[in-house]
Amino acid sequence: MKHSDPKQPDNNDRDKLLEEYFTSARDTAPMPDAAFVQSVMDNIPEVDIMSVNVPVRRTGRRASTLPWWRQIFGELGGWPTLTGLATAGVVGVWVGLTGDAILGLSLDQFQTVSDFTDPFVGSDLSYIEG
Amino acid sequence: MPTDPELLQATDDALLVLFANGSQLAAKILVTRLMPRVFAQAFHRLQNRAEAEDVVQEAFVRLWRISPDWKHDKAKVSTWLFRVVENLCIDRLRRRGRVTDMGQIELDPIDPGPSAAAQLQNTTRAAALYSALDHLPDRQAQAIRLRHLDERSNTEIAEIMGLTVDAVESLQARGRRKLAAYLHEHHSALGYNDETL
Repeated sequence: MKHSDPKQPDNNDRDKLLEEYFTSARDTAPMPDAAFVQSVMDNIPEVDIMSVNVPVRRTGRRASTLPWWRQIFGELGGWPTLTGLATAGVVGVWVGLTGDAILGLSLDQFQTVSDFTDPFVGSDLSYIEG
Repeated sequence: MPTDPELLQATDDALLVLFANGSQLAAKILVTRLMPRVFAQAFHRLQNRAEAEDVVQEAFVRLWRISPDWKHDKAKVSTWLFRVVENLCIDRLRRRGRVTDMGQIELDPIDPGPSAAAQLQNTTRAAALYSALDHLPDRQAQAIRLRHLDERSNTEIAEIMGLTVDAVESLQARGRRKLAAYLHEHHSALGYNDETL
């Protein structure tokens, strides 16, 4: 095909011409040698699984989008804290109601005079008086 | 751990994560899958088999290295690898000096036979194209190579080059015009004498 302007082919001719060159370059590009492919595979390192941080896909809502009461709840420790507190409360009530019977202990056992005598009675006055 | 047939169906991303978790087989499948394209990409830029092999080897080493920190949502593995190969090739071309002498272009030997003439024509055209691309501005040549030699989408090219799709299309349009003018002007000097021009 001859062009009217010898300096510039028109668009259709230009695209056709270029496509022929591109196709030739694609067709003549060599394939990698089998030996080279093998050498790349031989260079794949052994991965120590224990040293790898497994990527975790984030699916949950971000903390900043939670309502304020959920954020405060989370800051205070969340469900583990709440369950611990509830358990401690139940045990406290239970010991309070049945402690005497179960443990055989009574507060009266410790309420002798000596247990509650302040050995430093009057010392605070001596500090003040000098 | 997935079985072999499941691995063959897995995405590139999944294979890389499996490799990071200890699967050598996943990495080998990834090499088999991506090697032809990245090797051709390196060769289209360097026109030298040994240098293309060095670049591809280095690119895969870098891929294994980043695998533990791979982010699914950042880029496709193939796009990431293309970008690394592109940058490694650019570094080599800068060290080498940019314009390729046609005598240095190393294409596969032509088998004698009925198709020998067609093969010779293809080889001559390829050499002429590589030489012509070296006369374009870097970014135009890069955008054209990625589109027409590596057959990447413009969206992917934009990601590889860090540009918008519009900018990529603009580079390609200007590059094609200059390339056609150069080939048209030099076709006889390049030894390309068929009747398409």
